[in-house]
Amino acid sequence: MREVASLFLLAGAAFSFVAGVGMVRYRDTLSRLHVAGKVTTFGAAGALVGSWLFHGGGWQEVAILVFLLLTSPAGSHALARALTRRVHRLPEWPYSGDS
Amino acid sequence: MSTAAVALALLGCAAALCAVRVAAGPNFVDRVVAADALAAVLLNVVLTVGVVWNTRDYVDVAVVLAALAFVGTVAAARFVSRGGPLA
Repeated sequence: MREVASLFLLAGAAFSFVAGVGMVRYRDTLSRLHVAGKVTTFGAAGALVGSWLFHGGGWQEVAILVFLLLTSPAGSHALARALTRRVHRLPEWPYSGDS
Repeated sequence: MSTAAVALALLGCAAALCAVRVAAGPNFVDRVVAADALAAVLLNVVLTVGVVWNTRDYVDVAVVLAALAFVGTVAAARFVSRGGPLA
């Protein structure tokens, strides 16, 4: 079981490395957001599954995985929405007038 | 434990590349995105170090790290969306 856990940890580290390479090589803000939103989630998921297998269970890893799968798209969407609204000078909803 | 050494080397390279983007990002959203990726890399490092040292204490650190990364990202998004400086 420890070998399988090591394989999962290595896969997570490889995904994180791919995320770092994409973070440097991509030429657009939304492209880099795309990398950070997907590849980073897979990397953290690999490390979480590896740690869960190595330590023989536990609720913390499951909680982090569920939290990450729920909040990573939400954070990416919030950043992309904020950037788009800022660049195109759209008002914030609800249109209170002070934005 | 050479597998863990390879994993930690990959994570160190990923953290360095994310730090390069944090330093050289053209605008504020680039830096926030790179810092978010850096927090995820740090979560990987914490979990891997917990496996290498055969202790379970670092999983709680990972819980707090994931929560704080999301809160920081959403706060920065609100800051940009409400008219904060983008450069």
